[in-house]
Amino acid sequence: MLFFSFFKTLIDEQVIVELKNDMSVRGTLKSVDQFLNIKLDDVSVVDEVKYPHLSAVKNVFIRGSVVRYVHLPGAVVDTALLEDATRKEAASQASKMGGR
Amino acid sequence: MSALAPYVGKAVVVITSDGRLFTGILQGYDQTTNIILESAKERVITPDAPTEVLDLGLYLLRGESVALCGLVDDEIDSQIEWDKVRGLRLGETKKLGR
Repeated sequence: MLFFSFFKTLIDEQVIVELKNDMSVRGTLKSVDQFLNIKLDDVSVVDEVKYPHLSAVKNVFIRGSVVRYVHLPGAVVDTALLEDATRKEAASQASKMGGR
Repeated sequence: MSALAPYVGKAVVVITSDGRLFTGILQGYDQTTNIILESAKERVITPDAPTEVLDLGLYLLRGESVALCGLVDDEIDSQIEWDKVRGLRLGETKKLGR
Protein backbone atom coordinates (compact mmCIF):
# COMPACT_ATOMS: atom_id res chain seq x y z
CA MET A 1 0.00 0.00 0.00
CA LEU A 2 2.97 2.28 0.57
CA PHE A 3 3.85 2.72 -3.07
CA PHE A 4 0.18 3.12 -3.98
CA SER A 5 0.03 6.05 -1.55
CA PHE A 6 3.38 7.34 -2.79
CA PHE A 7 2.20 7.42 -6.40
CA LYS A 8 -1.01 9.15 -5.40
CA THR A 9 1.10 12.06 -4.14
CA LEU A 10 2.67 12.28 -7.61
CA ILE A 11 -0.59 12.72 -9.51
CA ASP A 12 -0.39 15.57 -12.04
CA GLU A 13 3.41 15.34 -12.20
CA GLN A 14 5.26 14.52 -15.41
CA VAL A 15 6.88 11.10 -15.29
CA ILE A 16 8.50 8.67 -17.71
CA VAL A 17 7.39 5.05 -17.46
CA GLU A 18 9.92 2.56 -18.79
CA LEU A 19 8.26 -0.71 -19.72
CA LYS A 20 9.76 -4.17 -19.70
CA ASN A 21 9.59 -4.27 -23.50
CA ASP A 22 12.14 -1.40 -23.42
CA MET A 23 9.70 1.25 -24.62
CA SER A 24 9.47 4.45 -22.54
CA VAL A 25 6.39 6.65 -22.33
CA ARG A 26 6.42 10.23 -21.02
CA GLY A 27 3.20 11.71 -19.68
CA THR A 28 1.31 13.28 -16.81
CA LEU A 29 0.42 10.83 -14.06
CA LYS A 30 -3.34 10.92 -13.74
CA SER A 31 -4.23 7.79 -11.85
CA VAL A 32 -2.79 4.79 -10.03
CA ASP A 33 -4.38 1.76 -8.37
CA GLN A 34 -3.55 -1.02 -5.93
CA PHE A 35 -1.81 -3.05 -8.66
CA LEU A 36 0.26 0.04 -9.51
CA ASN A 37 -1.47 0.16 -12.89
CA ILE A 38 -0.75 3.67 -14.21
CA LYS A 39 -2.77 6.07 -16.32
CA LEU A 40 -0.92 8.81 -18.14
CA ASP A 41 -2.41 11.76 -20.04
CA ASP A 42 -0.85 13.67 -22.91
CA VAL A 43 1.71 11.02 -23.64
CA SER A 44 4.68 11.03 -25.92
CA VAL A 45 6.81 7.99 -26.58
CA VAL A 46 10.46 8.67 -25.78
CA ASP A 47 11.93 7.39 -29.06
CA GLU A 48 9.05 8.11 -31.42
CA VAL A 49 11.05 7.27 -34.52
CA LYS A 50 11.68 3.75 -33.26
CA TYR A 51 8.20 3.39 -31.76
CA PRO A 52 5.57 5.15 -33.90
CA HIS A 53 2.98 2.66 -32.66
CA LEU A 54 1.31 5.14 -30.31
CA SER A 55 1.30 8.17 -32.63
CA ALA A 56 -2.51 8.44 -32.54
CA VAL A 57 -2.75 8.02 -28.77
CA LYS A 58 -2.86 10.76 -26.12
CA ASN A 59 -3.91 8.88 -23.00
CA VAL A 60 -2.73 5.46 -21.91
CA PHE A 61 -3.39 2.83 -19.30
CA ILE A 62 -0.25 0.86 -18.42
CA ARG A 63 -0.53 -2.47 -16.61
CA GLY A 64 1.53 -2.43 -13.42
CA SER A 65 3.08 -5.82 -14.18
CA VAL A 66 4.92 -4.54 -17.26
CA VAL A 67 6.52 -1.50 -15.63
CA ARG A 68 10.28 -1.68 -15.18
CA TYR A 69 10.90 1.88 -13.92
CA VAL A 70 9.00 5.07 -13.23
CA HIS A 71 11.37 8.01 -13.69
CA LEU A 72 10.31 10.81 -11.34
CA PRO A 73 11.18 14.49 -10.95
CA GLY A 74 13.51 14.44 -7.93
CA ALA A 75 12.41 17.82 -6.70
CA VAL A 76 8.85 16.63 -6.12
CA VAL A 77 9.68 13.77 -3.77
CA ASP A 78 9.91 14.44 -0.04
CA THR A 79 12.58 11.85 0.70
CA ALA A 80 12.43 12.39 4.46
CA LEU A 81 8.71 11.66 4.46
CA LEU A 82 9.24 8.63 2.25
CA GLU A 83 12.03 7.27 4.46
CA ASP A 84 9.84 7.75 7.49
CA ALA A 85 6.86 6.01 5.88
CA THR A 86 9.13 3.14 4.82
CA ARG A 87 10.43 2.66 8.35
CA LYS A 88 6.90 2.63 9.72
CA GLU A 89 5.85 0.12 7.07
CA ALA A 90 8.87 -2.09 7.80
CA ALA A 91 8.07 -1.97 11.49
CA SER A 92 4.45 -2.92 10.97
CA GLN A 93 5.49 -5.77 8.63
CA ALA A 94 7.96 -7.05 11.24
CA SER A 95 5.30 -7.07 13.93
CA LYS A 96 2.82 -8.77 11.59
CA MET A 97 5.35 -11.56 11.04
CA GLY A 98 5.38 -12.16 14.79
CA GLY A 99 8.64 -10.39 15.46
CA ARG A 100 10.74 -12.76 13.33
CA MET B 1 -8.77 3.93 -8.84
CA SER B 2 -7.15 3.54 -12.23
CA ALA B 3 -9.76 1.89 -14.45
CA LEU B 4 -10.44 1.48 -18.14
CA ALA B 5 -14.03 2.68 -17.75
CA PRO B 6 -13.55 5.95 -19.67
CA TYR B 7 -12.20 3.97 -22.65
CA VAL B 8 -15.23 1.68 -23.06
CA GLY B 9 -16.97 2.09 -26.41
CA LYS B 10 -13.99 3.99 -27.81
CA ALA B 11 -11.23 3.07 -30.23
CA VAL B 12 -8.15 1.84 -28.40
CA VAL B 13 -4.68 0.51 -29.19
CA VAL B 14 -3.53 -2.47 -27.13
CA ILE B 15 0.11 -3.52 -26.94
CA THR B 16 0.60 -7.09 -25.77
CA SER B 17 3.45 -8.64 -23.78
CA ASP B 18 4.68 -10.48 -26.88
CA GLY B 19 5.09 -7.21 -28.75
CA ARG B 20 1.98 -7.18 -30.93
CA LEU B 21 -0.28 -4.22 -31.59
CA PHE B 22 -4.06 -4.47 -31.76
CA THR B 23 -6.69 -1.82 -32.43
CA GLY B 24 -10.41 -2.07 -31.87
CA ILE B 25 -13.37 -0.78 -29.88
CA LEU B 26 -13.09 -1.57 -26.18
CA GLN B 27 -16.21 -3.48 -25.23
CA GLY B 28 -15.24 -4.75 -21.81
CA TYR B 29 -12.51 -5.27 -19.23
CA ASP B 30 -12.08 -6.57 -15.69
CA GLN B 31 -9.79 -6.33 -12.64
CA THR B 32 -7.16 -8.55 -14.21
CA THR B 33 -7.16 -6.38 -17.36
CA ASN B 34 -8.77 -9.04 -19.55
CA ILE B 35 -9.96 -7.01 -22.56
CA ILE B 36 -12.70 -7.48 -25.13
CA LEU B 37 -12.17 -5.74 -28.45
CA GLU B 38 -14.75 -5.42 -31.19
CA SER B 39 -13.62 -5.07 -34.83
CA ALA B 40 -10.13 -5.97 -33.69
CA LYS B 41 -7.28 -5.57 -36.13
CA GLU B 42 -3.63 -6.45 -35.66
CA ARG B 43 -1.20 -3.90 -37.12
CA VAL B 44 2.16 -5.36 -37.94
CA ILE B 45 4.68 -2.50 -38.02
CA THR B 46 8.15 -3.37 -39.30
CA PRO B 47 11.24 -1.30 -40.15
CA ASP B 48 11.34 -2.27 -43.81
CA ALA B 49 7.93 -3.29 -45.11
CA PRO B 50 4.49 -1.67 -45.41
CA THR B 51 2.30 -2.05 -42.36
CA GLU B 52 0.20 -5.22 -42.53
CA VAL B 53 -3.33 -5.23 -41.15
CA LEU B 54 -5.05 -8.45 -40.09
CA ASP B 55 -8.80 -8.37 -39.46
CA LEU B 56 -9.74 -10.37 -36.39
CA GLY B 57 -13.34 -9.53 -35.46
CA LEU B 58 -14.39 -9.95 -31.84
CA TYR B 59 -11.36 -10.62 -29.63
CA LEU B 60 -10.70 -11.46 -25.98
CA LEU B 61 -7.20 -10.64 -24.74
CA ARG B 62 -6.11 -12.24 -21.49
CA GLY B 63 -5.01 -9.70 -18.88
CA GLU B 64 -1.64 -11.40 -18.39
CA SER B 65 -0.73 -10.59 -21.96
CA VAL B 66 -1.88 -6.94 -21.92
CA ALA B 67 0.95 -4.41 -21.51
CA LEU B 68 -0.66 -1.15 -22.46
CA CYS B 69 -4.04 0.18 -23.58
CA GLY B 70 -4.10 3.59 -25.23
CA LEU B 71 -7.05 5.77 -26.16
CA VAL B 72 -7.03 6.62 -29.86
CA ASP B 73 -7.45 10.26 -30.83
CA ASP B 74 -9.54 9.91 -34.02
CA GLU B 75 -8.43 13.25 -35.45
CA ILE B 76 -4.76 12.35 -35.29
CA ASP B 77 -5.38 8.76 -36.32
CA SER B 78 -7.18 9.81 -39.52
CA GLN B 79 -4.13 11.88 -40.51
CA ILE B 80 -1.69 9.01 -40.23
CA GLU B 81 -0.99 6.91 -43.30
CA TRP B 82 -0.48 3.68 -41.43
CA ASP B 83 0.80 1.65 -44.36
CA LYS B 84 3.70 4.13 -44.71
CA VAL B 85 4.61 3.92 -41.02
CA ARG B 86 7.88 2.12 -40.24
CA GLY B 87 9.16 1.21 -36.82
CA LEU B 88 11.02 -1.33 -34.75
CA ARG B 89 9.34 -4.59 -33.90
CA LEU B 90 8.11 -4.20 -30.32
CA GLY B 91 9.96 -6.24 -27.74
CA GLU B 92 8.53 -8.77 -25.32
CA THR B 93 8.02 -7.91 -21.69
CA LYS B 94 9.43 -11.20 -20.45
CA LYS B 95 12.93 -12.25 -21.41
CA LEU B 96 13.19 -15.95 -22.20
CA GLY B 97 13.93 -18.23 -19.28
CA ARG B 98 12.42 -16.01 -16.57
